[in-house]
Amino acid sequence: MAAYVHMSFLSNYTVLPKFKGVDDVLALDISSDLPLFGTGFHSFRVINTYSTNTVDHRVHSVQPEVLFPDLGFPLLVVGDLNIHNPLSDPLRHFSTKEISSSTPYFEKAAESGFALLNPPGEYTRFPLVGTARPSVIDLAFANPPLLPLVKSWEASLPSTRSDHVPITITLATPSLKQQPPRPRWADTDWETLGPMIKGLKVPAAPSCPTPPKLDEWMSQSLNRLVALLKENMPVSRPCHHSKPWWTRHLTILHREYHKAAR
Amino acid sequence: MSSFLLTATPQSLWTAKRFPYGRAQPPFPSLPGAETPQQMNEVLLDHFFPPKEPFSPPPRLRPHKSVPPLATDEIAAALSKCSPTSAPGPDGIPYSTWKQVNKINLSIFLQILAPLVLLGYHPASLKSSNSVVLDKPGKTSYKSPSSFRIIVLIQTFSKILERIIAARLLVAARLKGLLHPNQCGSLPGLSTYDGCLTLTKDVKTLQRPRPKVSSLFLEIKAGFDNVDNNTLARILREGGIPPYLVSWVSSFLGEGSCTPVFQGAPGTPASVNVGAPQGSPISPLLFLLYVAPLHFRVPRGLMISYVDDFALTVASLSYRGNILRLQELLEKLERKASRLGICFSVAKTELIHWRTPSQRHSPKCVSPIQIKGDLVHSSNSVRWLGYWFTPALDPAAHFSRRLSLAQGAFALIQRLSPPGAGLPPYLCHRLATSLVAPILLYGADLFTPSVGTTTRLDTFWRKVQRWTTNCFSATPSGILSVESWLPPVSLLITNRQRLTALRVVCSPPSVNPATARLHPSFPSLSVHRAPDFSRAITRGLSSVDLPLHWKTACPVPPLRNHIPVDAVAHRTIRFTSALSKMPMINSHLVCPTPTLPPQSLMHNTYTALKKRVRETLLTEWATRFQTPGYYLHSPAVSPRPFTGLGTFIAGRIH
Repeated sequence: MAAYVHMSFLSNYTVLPKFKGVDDVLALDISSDLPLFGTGFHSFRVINTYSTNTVDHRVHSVQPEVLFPDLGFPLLVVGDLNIHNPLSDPLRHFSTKEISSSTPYFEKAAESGFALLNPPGEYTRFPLVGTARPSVIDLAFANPPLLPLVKSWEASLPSTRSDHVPITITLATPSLKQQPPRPRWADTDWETLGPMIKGLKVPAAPSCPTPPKLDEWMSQSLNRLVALLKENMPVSRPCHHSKPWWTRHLTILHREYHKAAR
Repeated sequence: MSSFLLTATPQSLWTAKRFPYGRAQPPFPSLPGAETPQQMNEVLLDHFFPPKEPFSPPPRLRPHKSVPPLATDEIAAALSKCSPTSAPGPDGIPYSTWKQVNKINLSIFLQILAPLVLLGYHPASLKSSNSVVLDKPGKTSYKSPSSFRIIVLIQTFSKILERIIAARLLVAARLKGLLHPNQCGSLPGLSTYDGCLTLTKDVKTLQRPRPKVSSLFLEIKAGFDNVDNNTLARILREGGIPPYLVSWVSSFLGEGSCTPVFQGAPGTPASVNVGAPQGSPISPLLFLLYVAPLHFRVPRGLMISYVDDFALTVASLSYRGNILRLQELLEKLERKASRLGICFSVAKTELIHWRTPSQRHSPKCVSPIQIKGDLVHSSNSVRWLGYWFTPALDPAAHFSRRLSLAQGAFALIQRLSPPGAGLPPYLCHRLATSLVAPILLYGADLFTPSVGTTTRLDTFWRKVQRWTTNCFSATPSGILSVESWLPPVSLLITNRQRLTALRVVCSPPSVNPATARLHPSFPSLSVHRAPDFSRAITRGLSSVDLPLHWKTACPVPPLRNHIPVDAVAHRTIRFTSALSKMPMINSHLVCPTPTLPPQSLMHNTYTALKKRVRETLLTEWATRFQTPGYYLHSPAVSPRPFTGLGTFIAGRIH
């Protein structure tokens, strides 16, 4: 197992190989004094693996626990895992053996919050002999801190004459534009608003107008109604600390995490 | 996570689905030559909204004559079809707010919308939209704008008016015959099944006198984006559509303001001509009217379409002859398409040579079809409208793919409820019926699986049942299906086929191409039928090849078979024997005739027939899949009230 790093990269970042005490696994720790990807993280890890079938063909040489650790900083797991699962290749029919040997990996990945980056069904291995089918076995997983930074997964590079296709994974700083305050339509107080809507008068439409005149009348009539609605609508007021990428899903996970910690 | 799952409600169930799915970021557009978000904005706008001939509105708008006045019922009907979860446009106002406003004051919508209908005008202020850039899944590279699609989020207020006009335009187009009878999809009362049933019926009928049959499948490239305003206005005007509707459509398709939305987008609106915006309720209808002139009659063949998917079928004495005919028809079709400013996608063109069992060993035809300089060879399997077709119309090819897809979906949701924990059974049942069953059984209305395939489907379905109930694997399968409120897969397939058959035979023949192919002796309320050329070719054949009459049950052993539409008609005999004529649903889409019974009466009859089919499902479940004597519960398709309690999980009791 080997890893190649561009020289220009080494001038800006510290790259340390880390062997996890297991054959067929290589981890690279990338760190810098400056925050990486515009986030608060100073470290980033890539785990590369080549998991082969053992002699009895029931277990693989690399166990899921080694590949999907719970880390507090970005982690990318890539490699030839030699596993077949409907999650990575939905249109293929799998044997029970294939599913049972691959499920522990996907179970562990889901438990630790990892997401599969491969587009489902996109082959990464084309056997050089015609006896086997193309398959999706070169998998990439990102942990929750890394997920917002993943920009793309592509297999568009020319062939290297290997039976595996070269894959490019691009990471980039996410857009952190603050969202404007949003009206909470579901919390509208219709009892207060009802009499105002009942009393709303729409100006009479011009009889033979020019298109700009009718546009103006339409904007005026609709804006009057929309302004009335928006004035009486409660608005969500996100504070300047709130993160635009935060979701309800993360709130639940956060709550569960603290519950477990207690 | 488990505590959240235990308290999950039907509303929060889809949040739970995200736990196993994770939250992968969508691919980000990285386009060559576009370094900044502003440049990317321009590249996307240029690609998706190429400049078109501008439409100039009349200098002064005048009220059109004989325009039916807008009624509050029309507004209420349009609003009732709007989903409260539909994504709003730039103003952010959801449909639920408009529904409430209309409930409080009925006259507001009427006062604002009635002048627009009368003048046939769609104001510019309603044409501002957000265009969400979405990635097309499964692309090898996301460096080209063609790897993305644009969904235009129009203001919800504008969509209410669009729905009103769409309803009026559809009735007018049907009455004037502007929609071709072989156009399916995006129209009320029609589905992919109708298109595929029509195709298989004609293929099977054409094969009866033993000629060779071939089909070419085509898809229009970026169809909605290329709808030309002036051409569509001409088609509508020449077709006799009322002038106020033509004027409104021209105004609607005119220039509007659009803001592309993608990660890091600058959010600057641009003035564009978006064609028929994808996301508008009227766009599918406008597109169908635009492509209707592409249809033409194919002697000894069929041309059928589903929105932008076209299928050309021909029959001759040799596959080579079919290739020559298809090439000729394709050139004719391309000429017609170029006049409309549209073209067919080469990458999505597929060819198939159909084979009967007796033609199985006949030599293969390697001649390709040429389309825009590229060669298209025949395939061993073709996916059209989600149905997998093989030359022998083998159901196993379709079901093995559906099974793989269902296994993938089940593998995802399975983690939500491990044995003895996770979701309550009634929510598992909800996931199984709303997520797994539709994936597994899609296409089961057209294809009947063989015994071997049914066994494979059944094995998988029992896993789903076991997961729903948390029962042990030693639980007898009869009890398992009753405990999980999930009927055995063979019954689900039969039930689906019966319900679909009922819908087809009760559709108006002038609207549904499959209904139009029913035998003339079928007791429909309408005598309209498609040109019967295909059955005429079976006249004079030997008794083995002659199609069975639709009323005749299949003989055992099956020396002769029904053609697919007759098999569909035969399925309904058991439920409709007491009726002298079939009711007609969607009868408002056909020309009003005094002989038709009231619409409400026909609707009630149809509902009663569907109820009878569901009752038969339960009866057959109880008789064919008997449970041991010690098990006293009777089969039911909806969970019993006590199973809603979070504390009751069968697995825990076992």
